[in-house]
Amino acid sequence: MLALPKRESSLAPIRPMLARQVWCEFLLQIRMPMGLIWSLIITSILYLFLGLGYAGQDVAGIDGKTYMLASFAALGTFNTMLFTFGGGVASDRGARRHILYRAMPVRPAVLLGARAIVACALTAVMVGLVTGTGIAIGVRISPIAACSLIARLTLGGIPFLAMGLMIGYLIRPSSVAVVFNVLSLGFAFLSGIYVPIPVTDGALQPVANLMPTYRLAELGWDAVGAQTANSMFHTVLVLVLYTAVFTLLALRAYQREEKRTFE
Amino acid sequence: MTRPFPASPAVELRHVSKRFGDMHALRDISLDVRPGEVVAILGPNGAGKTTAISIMLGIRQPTSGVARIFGLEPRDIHGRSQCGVMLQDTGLPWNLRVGELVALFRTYYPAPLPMAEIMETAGIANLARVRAGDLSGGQRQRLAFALAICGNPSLLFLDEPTTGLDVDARHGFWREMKRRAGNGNSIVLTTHYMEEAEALADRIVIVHEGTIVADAPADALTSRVRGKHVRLIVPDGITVTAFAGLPVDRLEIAGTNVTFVTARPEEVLRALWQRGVTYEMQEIRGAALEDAVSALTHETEIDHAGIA
Repeated sequence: MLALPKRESSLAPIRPMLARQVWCEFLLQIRMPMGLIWSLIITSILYLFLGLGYAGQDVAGIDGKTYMLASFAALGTFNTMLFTFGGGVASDRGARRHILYRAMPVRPAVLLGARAIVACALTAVMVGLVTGTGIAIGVRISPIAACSLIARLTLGGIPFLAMGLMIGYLIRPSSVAVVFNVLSLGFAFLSGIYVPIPVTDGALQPVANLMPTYRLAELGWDAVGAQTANSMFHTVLVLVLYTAVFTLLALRAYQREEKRTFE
Repeated sequence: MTRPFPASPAVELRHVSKRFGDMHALRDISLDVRPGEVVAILGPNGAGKTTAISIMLGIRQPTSGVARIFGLEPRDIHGRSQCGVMLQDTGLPWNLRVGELVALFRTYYPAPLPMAEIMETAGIANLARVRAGDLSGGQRQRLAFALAICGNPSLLFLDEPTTGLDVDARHGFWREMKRRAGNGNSIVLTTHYMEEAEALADRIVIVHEGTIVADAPADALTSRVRGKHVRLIVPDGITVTAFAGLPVDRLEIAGTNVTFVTARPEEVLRALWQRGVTYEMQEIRGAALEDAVSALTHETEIDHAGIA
Protein backbone atom coordinates (compact mmCIF):
# COMPACT_ATOMS: atom_id res chain seq x y z
CA MET A 1 0.00 0.00 0.00
CA LEU A 2 1.39 3.35 -1.07
CA ALA A 3 1.16 6.10 1.51
CA LEU A 4 1.75 9.74 0.79
CA PRO A 5 5.04 11.17 2.07
CA LYS A 6 5.10 12.25 5.70
CA ARG A 7 4.48 15.92 6.26
CA GLU A 8 5.55 17.85 9.32
CA SER A 9 2.17 19.63 9.31
CA SER A 10 0.59 16.31 10.27
CA LEU A 11 2.31 16.57 13.67
CA ALA A 12 1.50 18.88 16.56
CA PRO A 13 4.05 21.65 17.21
CA ILE A 14 6.50 20.73 19.97
CA ARG A 15 6.80 24.01 21.86
CA PRO A 16 3.17 24.45 22.98
CA MET A 17 3.05 20.73 23.78
CA LEU A 18 6.17 20.94 25.96
CA ALA A 19 5.03 24.18 27.63
CA ARG A 20 1.63 22.67 28.54
CA GLN A 21 3.26 19.43 29.70
CA VAL A 22 5.65 21.36 31.96
CA TRP A 23 2.75 23.35 33.41
CA CYS A 24 0.76 20.17 34.10
CA GLU A 25 3.78 18.46 35.67
CA PHE A 26 4.21 21.50 37.88
CA LEU A 27 0.51 21.39 38.87
CA LEU A 28 0.83 17.70 39.67
CA GLN A 29 3.81 18.40 41.91
CA ILE A 30 2.15 21.22 43.84
CA ARG A 31 -0.98 19.11 44.28
CA MET A 32 0.98 16.27 45.87
CA PRO A 33 1.51 17.85 49.28
CA MET A 34 3.95 15.25 50.59
CA GLY A 35 6.05 15.41 47.43
CA LEU A 36 6.33 19.16 47.57
CA ILE A 37 7.00 19.27 51.32
CA TRP A 38 9.74 16.73 50.87
CA SER A 39 11.27 18.62 47.99
CA LEU A 40 11.09 22.15 49.24
CA ILE A 41 10.77 22.29 53.01
CA ILE A 42 12.05 19.10 54.58
CA THR A 43 15.58 19.78 53.39
CA SER A 44 15.60 23.14 55.20
CA ILE A 45 14.12 21.54 58.33
CA LEU A 46 16.73 18.75 58.24
CA TYR A 47 19.44 21.37 57.89
CA LEU A 48 18.14 23.27 60.92
CA PHE A 49 17.89 20.12 63.06
CA LEU A 50 20.97 18.20 61.98
CA GLY A 51 23.26 20.70 60.32
CA LEU A 52 23.70 23.31 63.00
CA GLY A 53 25.61 21.04 65.36
CA TYR A 54 28.77 22.16 63.59
CA ALA A 55 28.03 25.91 63.84
CA GLY A 56 31.11 27.86 64.89
CA GLN A 57 33.39 24.91 64.17
CA ASP A 58 35.89 25.01 61.32
CA VAL A 59 35.02 22.41 58.68
CA ALA A 60 37.21 22.28 55.57
CA GLY A 61 38.29 25.87 56.09
CA ILE A 62 34.83 27.46 56.55
CA ASP A 63 32.21 27.77 59.30
CA GLY A 64 30.48 24.44 59.95
CA LYS A 65 26.96 25.81 59.39
CA THR A 66 27.98 27.09 55.91
CA TYR A 67 29.57 23.73 55.10
CA MET A 68 26.46 21.87 56.26
CA LEU A 69 24.25 24.20 54.24
CA ALA A 70 25.94 22.97 51.06
CA SER A 71 25.82 19.35 52.35
CA PHE A 72 22.06 19.40 52.95
CA ALA A 73 21.39 21.32 49.72
CA ALA A 74 23.18 18.47 47.90
CA LEU A 75 21.11 15.87 49.74
CA GLY A 76 17.94 17.79 48.87
CA THR A 77 19.03 17.84 45.23
CA PHE A 78 19.49 14.07 45.24
CA ASN A 79 16.04 13.58 46.80
CA THR A 80 14.21 16.08 44.59
CA MET A 81 15.65 14.77 41.35
CA LEU A 82 15.07 11.16 42.29
CA PHE A 83 11.56 11.55 43.70
CA THR A 84 10.23 14.01 41.12
CA PHE A 85 11.63 12.30 38.05
CA GLY A 86 12.04 8.63 38.94
CA GLY A 87 8.92 8.69 41.11
CA GLY A 88 6.95 10.09 38.17
CA VAL A 89 8.14 7.34 35.82
CA ALA A 90 7.26 4.66 38.37
CA SER A 91 3.89 6.25 39.05
CA ASP A 92 3.06 6.26 35.32
CA ARG A 93 3.87 2.55 35.18
CA GLY A 94 1.88 1.78 38.31
CA ALA A 95 -1.22 3.60 37.05
CA ARG A 96 -0.76 2.23 33.50
CA ARG A 97 -0.59 5.77 32.14
CA HIS A 98 2.42 4.75 30.06
CA ILE A 99 0.12 2.54 27.97
CA LEU A 100 -2.20 5.45 27.20
CA TYR A 101 0.74 7.72 26.38
CA ARG A 102 2.05 5.05 24.02
CA ALA A 103 -1.16 5.26 22.00
CA MET A 104 -1.08 9.08 22.00
CA PRO A 105 0.85 11.16 19.48
CA VAL A 106 3.09 12.58 22.21
CA ARG A 107 6.83 12.03 22.00
CA PRO A 108 8.48 10.34 25.00
CA ALA A 109 11.07 13.16 24.91
CA VAL A 110 8.29 15.66 25.69
CA LEU A 111 6.99 13.63 28.63
CA LEU A 112 10.47 13.04 30.08
CA GLY A 113 11.74 16.51 29.18
CA ALA A 114 8.83 18.23 30.94
CA ARG A 115 9.39 16.15 34.05
CA ALA A 116 13.14 16.88 33.97
CA ILE A 117 12.49 20.63 33.63
CA VAL A 118 10.15 20.59 36.63
CA ALA A 119 12.61 18.48 38.67
CA CYS A 120 15.41 20.98 37.93
CA ALA A 121 13.17 23.97 38.70
CA LEU A 122 12.07 22.45 42.02
CA THR A 123 15.70 21.67 42.84
CA ALA A 124 16.70 25.27 42.19
CA VAL A 125 13.87 26.52 44.43
CA MET A 126 14.78 23.99 47.14
CA VAL A 127 18.48 25.02 47.13
CA GLY A 128 17.37 28.65 47.22
CA LEU A 129 15.17 27.95 50.25
CA VAL A 130 17.97 26.15 52.13
CA THR A 131 20.30 29.02 51.30
CA GLY A 132 17.71 31.53 52.52
CA THR A 133 17.27 29.50 55.70
CA GLY A 134 21.05 29.58 56.23
CA ILE A 135 21.23 33.32 55.66
CA ALA A 136 18.36 33.81 58.14
CA ILE A 137 20.35 32.03 60.86
CA GLY A 138 23.55 33.93 60.16
CA VAL A 139 25.37 32.09 57.39
CA ARG A 140 27.50 34.57 55.47
CA ILE A 141 27.36 33.84 51.79
CA SER A 142 27.77 36.27 48.92
CA PRO A 143 25.00 36.57 46.29
CA ILE A 144 27.42 35.21 43.70
CA ALA A 145 28.24 32.17 45.87
CA ALA A 146 24.52 31.62 46.50
CA CYS A 147 23.74 31.75 42.77
CA SER A 148 26.72 29.51 42.06
CA LEU A 149 25.46 26.99 44.64
CA ILE A 150 21.99 26.91 43.06
CA ALA A 151 23.34 26.57 39.51
CA ARG A 152 26.00 23.98 40.34
CA LEU A 153 23.67 21.71 42.31
CA THR A 154 20.87 21.97 39.75
CA LEU A 155 23.22 21.00 36.92
CA GLY A 156 25.16 18.57 39.10
CA GLY A 157 21.86 16.84 39.92
CA ILE A 158 21.39 15.67 36.33
CA PRO A 159 23.02 12.24 36.99
CA PHE A 160 20.21 11.63 39.48
CA LEU A 161 17.59 12.22 36.80
CA ALA A 162 19.18 9.33 34.92
CA MET A 163 19.38 7.30 38.15
CA GLY A 164 15.69 8.03 38.85
CA LEU A 165 14.78 6.96 35.33
CA MET A 166 16.69 3.72 35.80
CA ILE A 167 15.04 2.93 39.13
CA GLY A 168 11.63 4.06 37.87
CA TYR A 169 11.81 1.40 35.15
CA LEU A 170 13.56 -1.31 37.19
CA ILE A 171 11.67 -1.42 40.47
CA ARG A 172 8.06 -2.39 41.07
CA PRO A 173 6.11 0.91 41.24
CA SER A 174 4.78 0.14 44.72
CA SER A 175 8.32 -0.34 46.06
CA VAL A 176 9.88 2.76 44.56
CA ALA A 177 9.30 5.12 47.52
CA VAL A 178 10.95 2.67 49.93
CA VAL A 179 13.92 2.15 47.60
CA PHE A 180 14.38 5.91 47.20
CA ASN A 181 14.31 6.47 50.97
CA VAL A 182 16.82 3.70 51.65
CA LEU A 183 19.09 5.02 48.90
CA SER A 184 18.80 8.55 50.25
CA LEU A 185 19.81 7.47 53.76
CA GLY A 186 22.63 5.22 52.56
CA PHE A 187 24.09 7.67 50.06
CA ALA A 188 23.89 10.54 52.56
CA PHE A 189 25.73 8.53 55.23
CA LEU A 190 28.44 7.27 52.87
CA SER A 191 28.92 10.74 51.40
CA GLY A 192 29.49 12.48 54.72
CA ILE A 193 26.32 14.55 54.53
CA TYR A 194 25.26 14.03 58.16
CA VAL A 195 28.81 13.84 59.61
CA PRO A 196 31.35 15.86 57.61
CA ILE A 197 34.32 13.72 56.61
CA PRO A 198 36.85 16.51 57.39
CA VAL A 199 35.93 16.33 61.10
CA THR A 200 36.37 12.52 61.20
CA ASP A 201 39.51 10.43 60.87
CA GLY A 202 38.78 10.25 57.13
CA ALA A 203 38.17 6.51 57.07
CA LEU A 204 35.12 7.06 54.89
CA GLN A 205 36.97 9.18 52.32
CA PRO A 206 37.87 6.38 49.83
CA VAL A 207 34.26 5.18 49.80
CA ALA A 208 32.90 8.73 49.60
CA ASN A 209 35.05 9.46 46.56
CA LEU A 210 33.08 6.78 44.71
CA MET A 211 29.66 8.17 45.66
CA PRO A 212 27.89 10.43 43.14
CA THR A 213 26.25 12.28 46.03
CA TYR A 214 29.67 13.08 47.51
CA ARG A 215 30.78 14.47 44.16
CA LEU A 216 27.59 16.52 43.95
CA ALA A 217 28.20 17.85 47.46
CA GLU A 218 31.76 18.75 46.50
CA LEU A 219 30.34 21.08 43.83
CA GLY A 220 28.35 22.76 46.61
CA TRP A 221 31.20 22.88 49.14
CA ASP A 222 33.45 24.46 46.53
CA ALA A 223 30.74 27.03 45.70
CA VAL A 224 30.60 28.21 49.36
CA GLY A 225 34.40 28.35 49.71
CA ALA A 226 35.22 25.06 51.44
CA GLN A 227 38.32 23.00 50.61
CA THR A 228 37.51 19.83 48.73
CA ALA A 229 39.30 16.50 48.57
CA ASN A 230 39.15 16.38 44.77
CA SER A 231 39.61 18.95 42.02
CA MET A 232 36.42 20.29 40.43
CA PHE A 233 37.57 18.97 37.06
CA HIS A 234 37.84 15.46 38.49
CA THR A 235 34.51 15.79 40.28
CA VAL A 236 32.67 16.99 37.17
CA LEU A 237 34.26 14.16 35.19
CA VAL A 238 33.01 11.60 37.71
CA LEU A 239 29.49 13.08 37.59
CA VAL A 240 29.51 12.97 33.78
CA LEU A 241 30.62 9.33 33.96
CA TYR A 242 27.83 8.54 36.40
CA THR A 243 25.34 10.25 34.07
CA ALA A 244 26.53 8.07 31.20
CA VAL A 245 26.38 4.87 33.26
CA PHE A 246 22.93 5.62 34.73
CA THR A 247 21.61 6.61 31.29
CA LEU A 248 22.90 3.37 29.81
CA LEU A 249 21.33 1.34 32.61
CA ALA A 250 18.10 3.35 32.29
CA LEU A 251 18.02 2.52 28.57
CA ARG A 252 18.46 -1.17 29.33
CA ALA A 253 15.71 -1.02 31.94
CA TYR A 254 13.50 0.81 29.45
CA GLN A 255 14.14 -1.87 26.82
CA ARG A 256 13.28 -4.57 29.34
CA GLU A 257 10.03 -2.77 30.19
CA GLU A 258 9.38 -2.29 26.47
CA LYS A 259 9.75 -6.02 25.86
CA ARG A 260 7.53 -6.93 28.78
CA THR A 261 4.71 -4.46 28.21
CA PHE A 262 4.76 -3.54 24.55
CA GLU A 263 5.82 -6.63 22.59
CA MET B 1 -10.47 17.98 8.13
CA THR B 2 -7.79 17.12 5.58
CA ARG B 3 -6.78 13.50 5.61
CA PRO B 4 -2.98 13.22 5.41
CA PHE B 5 -2.84 9.76 3.81
CA PRO B 6 -5.96 9.44 1.66
CA ALA B 7 -4.63 6.55 -0.44
CA SER B 8 -4.60 4.10 2.47
CA PRO B 9 -7.33 2.34 4.42
CA ALA B 10 -7.65 3.66 7.94
CA VAL B 11 -6.69 0.26 9.40
CA GLU B 12 -5.15 -2.79 7.77
CA LEU B 13 -4.33 -6.07 9.47
CA ARG B 14 -2.76 -8.73 7.25
CA HIS B 15 -2.38 -12.28 8.59
CA VAL B 16 -1.72 -10.98 12.08
CA SER B 17 -0.95 -13.49 14.80
CA LYS B 18 -0.01 -12.78 18.37
CA ARG B 19 1.35 -15.21 20.93
CA PHE B 20 2.01 -14.64 24.60
CA GLY B 21 4.28 -17.56 25.47
CA ASP B 22 2.26 -20.67 24.60
CA MET B 23 -1.02 -18.79 24.42
CA HIS B 24 -2.31 -17.77 20.97
CA ALA B 25 -4.17 -14.50 21.48
CA LEU B 26 -4.69 -13.95 17.74
CA ARG B 27 -4.41 -16.46 14.89
CA ASP B 28 -3.86 -15.16 11.38
CA ILE B 29 -6.46 -12.40 11.32
CA SER B 30 -6.90 -9.99 8.42
CA LEU B 31 -9.10 -6.92 8.55
CA ASP B 32 -9.55 -3.60 6.74
CA VAL B 33 -11.36 -0.54 8.03
CA ARG B 34 -12.11 1.96 5.29
CA PRO B 35 -12.52 5.72 5.70
CA GLY B 36 -15.91 6.60 7.15
CA GLU B 37 -16.59 3.04 8.24
CA VAL B 38 -17.70 2.03 11.73
CA VAL B 39 -16.57 -1.45 12.71
CA ALA B 40 -17.58 -3.15 15.94
CA ILE B 41 -15.42 -5.98 17.22
CA LEU B 42 -17.45 -8.38 19.31
CA GLY B 43 -16.71 -11.62 21.07
CA PRO B 44 -16.58 -13.25 24.46
CA ASN B 45 -14.10 -12.15 27.14
CA GLY B 46 -10.58 -13.26 26.27
CA ALA B 47 -11.46 -13.67 22.58
CA GLY B 48 -8.65 -11.38 21.45
CA LYS B 49 -10.55 -8.10 20.90
CA THR B 50 -8.31 -5.95 23.09
CA THR B 51 -5.16 -7.59 21.71
CA ALA B 52 -6.33 -6.77 18.18
CA ILE B 53 -6.93 -3.13 19.13
CA SER B 54 -3.57 -2.99 20.97
CA ILE B 55 -1.83 -4.11 17.77
CA MET B 56 -3.72 -1.55 15.68
CA LEU B 57 -2.61 1.13 18.14
CA GLY B 58 1.03 0.02 18.23
CA ILE B 59 0.80 -0.79 21.94
CA ARG B 60 1.62 -4.42 21.06
CA GLN B 61 3.67 -5.82 18.19
CA PRO B 62 2.27 -8.74 16.17
CA THR B 63 4.23 -11.99 16.43
CA SER B 64 3.72 -12.32 12.68
CA GLY B 65 1.81 -10.44 10.02
CA VAL B 66 1.50 -6.75 9.28
CA ALA B 67 -0.51 -3.95 10.87
CA ARG B 68 -0.90 -0.52 9.28
CA ILE B 69 -2.67 2.71 10.22
CA PHE B 70 -3.19 4.96 7.17
CA GLY B 71 -0.52 2.86 5.47
CA LEU B 72 2.02 3.49 8.22
CA GLU B 73 3.47 1.45 11.07
CA PRO B 74 1.07 1.85 14.02
CA ARG B 75 3.97 3.24 16.07
CA ASP B 76 4.62 5.99 13.52
CA ILE B 77 3.67 9.25 15.21
CA HIS B 78 2.29 10.64 11.93
CA GLY B 79 -0.38 7.95 11.86
CA ARG B 80 -1.06 8.23 15.59
CA SER B 81 -1.64 11.98 15.19
CA GLN B 82 -4.79 11.05 13.24
CA CYS B 83 -6.06 8.63 15.89
CA GLY B 84 -8.16 9.17 19.00
CA VAL B 85 -8.07 6.51 21.67
CA MET B 86 -10.33 5.46 24.51
CA LEU B 87 -8.89 2.47 26.35
CA GLN B 88 -10.00 0.40 29.29
CA ASP B 89 -7.89 0.13 32.42
CA THR B 90 -5.48 2.95 31.79
CA GLY B 91 -5.03 5.75 34.27
CA LEU B 92 -4.83 9.49 33.88
CA PRO B 93 -3.01 12.08 35.99
CA TRP B 94 -5.92 12.18 38.41
CA ASN B 95 -4.70 15.30 40.23
CA LEU B 96 -5.28 17.42 37.13
CA ARG B 97 -8.60 19.09 36.57
CA VAL B 98 -10.84 18.05 33.68
CA GLY B 99 -10.21 21.29 31.77
CA GLU B 100 -6.46 21.02 32.32
CA LEU B 101 -6.39 17.48 30.98
CA VAL B 102 -8.37 18.33 27.87
CA ALA B 103 -6.14 21.38 27.25
CA LEU B 104 -3.05 19.17 27.66
CA PHE B 105 -4.23 16.42 25.32
CA ARG B 106 -5.25 19.00 22.68
CA THR B 107 -1.59 19.99 22.38
CA TYR B 108 -0.68 16.43 21.27
CA TYR B 109 -2.64 16.88 18.00
CA PRO B 110 -1.92 19.03 14.95
CA ALA B 111 -5.48 20.31 14.43
CA PRO B 112 -7.47 19.90 17.64
CA LEU B 113 -11.12 20.80 18.09
CA PRO B 114 -11.91 24.03 19.96
CA MET B 115 -11.91 23.53 23.72
CA ALA B 116 -15.57 24.56 24.15
CA GLU B 117 -16.71 22.15 21.44
CA ILE B 118 -14.91 19.21 23.05
CA MET B 119 -16.34 19.94 26.49
CA GLU B 120 -19.84 20.41 25.09
CA THR B 121 -19.75 17.31 22.89
CA ALA B 122 -18.51 15.07 25.71
CA GLY B 123 -21.02 16.57 28.17
CA ILE B 124 -18.36 17.75 30.61
CA ALA B 125 -18.64 21.53 30.18
CA ASN B 126 -19.77 21.88 33.81
CA LEU B 127 -16.90 19.71 35.11
CA ALA B 128 -13.97 21.75 33.81
CA ARG B 129 -12.72 22.68 37.29
CA VAL B 130 -13.30 19.28 38.90
CA ARG B 131 -10.25 17.10 39.55
CA ALA B 132 -10.28 14.00 37.38
CA GLY B 133 -9.83 11.83 40.48
CA ASP B 134 -13.09 13.18 41.94
CA LEU B 135 -15.23 12.17 38.94
CA SER B 136 -17.78 9.35 39.05
CA GLY B 137 -17.33 6.31 36.80
CA GLY B 138 -19.67 7.68 34.12
CA GLN B 139 -18.03 11.11 34.25
CA ARG B 140 -14.60 9.50 33.82
CA GLN B 141 -15.91 7.72 30.72
CA ARG B 142 -17.07 11.05 29.34
CA LEU B 143 -13.68 12.60 30.09
CA ALA B 144 -11.96 9.69 28.33
CA PHE B 145 -14.26 10.26 25.37
CA ALA B 146 -13.37 13.98 25.37
CA LEU B 147 -9.67 13.08 25.30
CA ALA B 148 -10.30 10.63 22.45
CA ILE B 149 -12.04 13.19 20.22
CA CYS B 150 -10.07 16.31 21.23
CA GLY B 151 -7.63 15.94 18.33
CA ASN B 152 -10.50 15.74 15.80
CA PRO B 153 -9.11 12.36 14.70
CA SER B 154 -9.84 10.63 11.39
CA LEU B 155 -9.81 7.29 13.20
CA LEU B 156 -11.23 6.55 16.64
CA PHE B 157 -10.48 3.46 18.73
CA LEU B 158 -13.04 2.95 21.45
CA ASP B 159 -12.68 0.01 23.83
CA GLU B 160 -15.96 -0.46 25.74
CA PRO B 161 -16.77 3.24 25.40
CA THR B 162 -20.18 3.38 27.07
CA THR B 163 -19.58 1.13 30.07
CA GLY B 164 -20.88 3.00 33.10
CA LEU B 165 -22.83 5.60 31.11
CA ASP B 166 -26.53 6.17 31.75
CA VAL B 167 -29.04 5.74 28.92
CA ASP B 168 -29.15 9.44 27.98
CA ALA B 169 -25.38 9.73 27.92
CA ARG B 170 -25.13 6.54 25.86
CA HIS B 171 -27.60 7.82 23.28
CA GLY B 172 -25.77 11.16 23.17
CA PHE B 173 -22.57 9.23 22.55
CA TRP B 174 -24.19 7.28 19.71
CA ARG B 175 -25.39 10.52 18.08
CA GLU B 176 -21.88 11.91 18.17
CA MET B 177 -20.42 8.70 16.74
CA LYS B 178 -22.92 8.75 13.86
CA ARG B 179 -22.12 12.39 13.21
CA ARG B 180 -18.38 11.67 13.14
CA ALA B 181 -18.82 8.68 10.85
CA GLY B 182 -21.04 10.81 8.60
CA ASN B 183 -18.14 13.24 8.28
CA GLY B 184 -15.93 10.48 6.89
CA ASN B 185 -14.16 9.45 10.10
CA SER B 186 -13.54 5.78 10.81
CA ILE B 187 -14.39 4.17 14.14
CA VAL B 188 -13.28 0.85 15.59
CA LEU B 189 -15.09 -0.10 18.76
CA THR B 190 -15.50 -3.02 21.08
CA THR B 191 -18.60 -3.30 23.18
CA HIS B 192 -20.64 -5.73 25.21
CA TYR B 193 -23.86 -3.88 24.30
CA MET B 194 -25.26 -5.56 21.19
CA GLU B 195 -27.77 -2.77 20.58
CA GLU B 196 -24.82 -0.37 20.51
CA ALA B 197 -23.05 -2.41 17.87
CA GLU B 198 -26.28 -2.68 15.85
CA ALA B 199 -26.99 1.03 16.16
CA LEU B 200 -23.51 2.21 15.19
CA ALA B 201 -21.58 -0.32 13.17
CA ASP B 202 -21.54 -0.75 9.41
CA ARG B 203 -19.75 -4.05 9.97
CA ILE B 204 -19.59 -6.46 12.86
CA VAL B 205 -16.40 -8.47 13.29
CA ILE B 206 -16.84 -11.41 15.63
CA VAL B 207 -13.64 -12.65 17.22
CA HIS B 208 -13.50 -15.98 19.00
CA GLU B 209 -10.46 -17.77 20.36
CA GLY B 210 -8.17 -15.43 18.44
CA THR B 211 -9.76 -15.84 15.01
CA ILE B 212 -12.33 -13.83 13.07
CA VAL B 213 -15.38 -16.09 12.78
CA ALA B 214 -17.59 -13.52 11.04
CA ASP B 215 -17.20 -10.14 9.36
CA ALA B 216 -20.45 -8.77 7.96
CA PRO B 217 -23.19 -6.16 8.52
CA ALA B 218 -25.42 -6.86 11.53
CA ASP B 219 -28.50 -7.80 9.45
CA ALA B 220 -26.45 -10.27 7.39
CA LEU B 221 -25.30 -11.92 10.61
CA THR B 222 -28.76 -12.13 12.17
CA SER B 223 -30.23 -13.55 8.97
CA ARG B 224 -27.82 -16.50 9.30
CA VAL B 225 -29.49 -17.51 12.55
CA ARG B 226 -32.69 -19.30 11.75
CA GLY B 227 -34.15 -19.67 15.21
CA LYS B 228 -36.96 -17.63 16.78
CA HIS B 229 -37.11 -16.49 20.37
CA VAL B 230 -40.25 -17.68 22.15
CA ARG B 231 -41.44 -16.42 25.52
CA LEU B 232 -44.38 -18.04 27.32
CA ILE B 233 -46.08 -17.86 30.67
CA VAL B 234 -47.15 -21.24 32.05
CA PRO B 235 -49.46 -20.48 35.02
CA ASP B 236 -49.41 -24.08 36.32
CA GLY B 237 -45.65 -24.42 36.04
CA ILE B 238 -43.61 -26.68 33.79
CA THR B 239 -40.51 -28.87 33.90
CA VAL B 240 -37.84 -29.62 31.35
CA THR B 241 -39.34 -33.05 30.67
CA ALA B 242 -42.31 -31.39 28.91
CA PHE B 243 -39.85 -30.40 26.16
CA ALA B 244 -38.45 -33.90 25.72
CA GLY B 245 -37.76 -34.60 22.05
CA LEU B 246 -38.73 -31.09 20.91
CA PRO B 247 -36.35 -28.98 18.75
CA VAL B 248 -35.59 -26.25 21.31
CA ASP B 249 -32.36 -24.61 22.33
CA ARG B 250 -31.35 -22.40 25.28
CA LEU B 251 -34.41 -23.37 27.29
CA GLU B 252 -34.85 -21.32 30.47
CA ILE B 253 -37.55 -21.87 33.05
CA ALA B 254 -37.89 -19.26 35.78
CA GLY B 255 -41.07 -19.88 37.80
CA THR B 256 -43.94 -19.47 35.34
CA ASN B 257 -41.74 -17.73 32.75
CA VAL B 258 -40.36 -19.90 29.98
CA THR B 259 -38.06 -18.85 27.14
CA PHE B 260 -36.42 -20.87 24.40
CA VAL B 261 -35.08 -20.61 20.86
CA THR B 262 -36.40 -22.82 18.10
CA ALA B 263 -36.32 -22.98 14.34
CA ARG B 264 -39.85 -24.53 14.35
CA PRO B 265 -41.98 -22.55 16.84
CA GLU B 266 -45.38 -23.74 15.52
CA GLU B 267 -44.39 -27.40 15.92
CA VAL B 268 -43.08 -26.86 19.47
CA LEU B 269 -46.13 -24.89 20.61
CA ARG B 270 -48.51 -27.47 19.11
CA ALA B 271 -46.64 -30.31 20.82
CA LEU B 272 -46.76 -28.54 24.19
CA TRP B 273 -50.54 -28.03 23.80
CA GLN B 274 -50.98 -31.69 22.92
CA ARG B 275 -48.98 -32.64 26.02
CA GLY B 276 -51.51 -30.76 28.15
CA VAL B 277 -49.42 -27.69 28.87
CA THR B 278 -51.55 -24.58 29.22
CA TYR B 279 -49.62 -21.45 28.33
CA GLU B 280 -50.07 -17.77 27.53
CA MET B 281 -48.12 -16.66 24.49
CA GLN B 282 -45.97 -13.60 25.29
CA GLU B 283 -43.60 -13.12 22.36
CA ILE B 284 -42.16 -14.71 19.23
CA ARG B 285 -39.38 -12.71 17.63
CA GLY B 286 -36.57 -13.20 15.14
CA ALA B 287 -32.95 -13.67 16.10
CA ALA B 288 -31.04 -10.69 17.49
CA LEU B 289 -27.36 -9.90 17.04
CA GLU B 290 -26.70 -11.45 20.44
CA ASP B 291 -28.08 -14.76 19.13
CA ALA B 292 -25.90 -14.49 16.05
CA VAL B 293 -22.79 -13.87 18.15
CA SER B 294 -23.72 -16.70 20.47
CA ALA B 295 -24.47 -19.07 17.58
CA LEU B 296 -21.29 -18.21 15.67
CA THR B 297 -18.98 -18.59 18.65
CA HIS B 298 -20.81 -21.78 19.66
CA GLU B 299 -20.37 -23.21 16.15
CA THR B 300 -16.65 -22.50 16.37
CA GLU B 301 -16.43 -24.36 19.65
CA ILE B 302 -18.21 -27.35 18.10
CA ASP B 303 -15.86 -27.21 15.07
CA HIS B 304 -12.84 -27.13 17.35
CA ALA B 305 -14.20 -30.00 19.41
CA GLY B 306 -14.80 -31.96 16.20
CA ILE B 307 -11.26 -31.34 14.99
CA ALA B 308 -9.84 -32.38 18.36
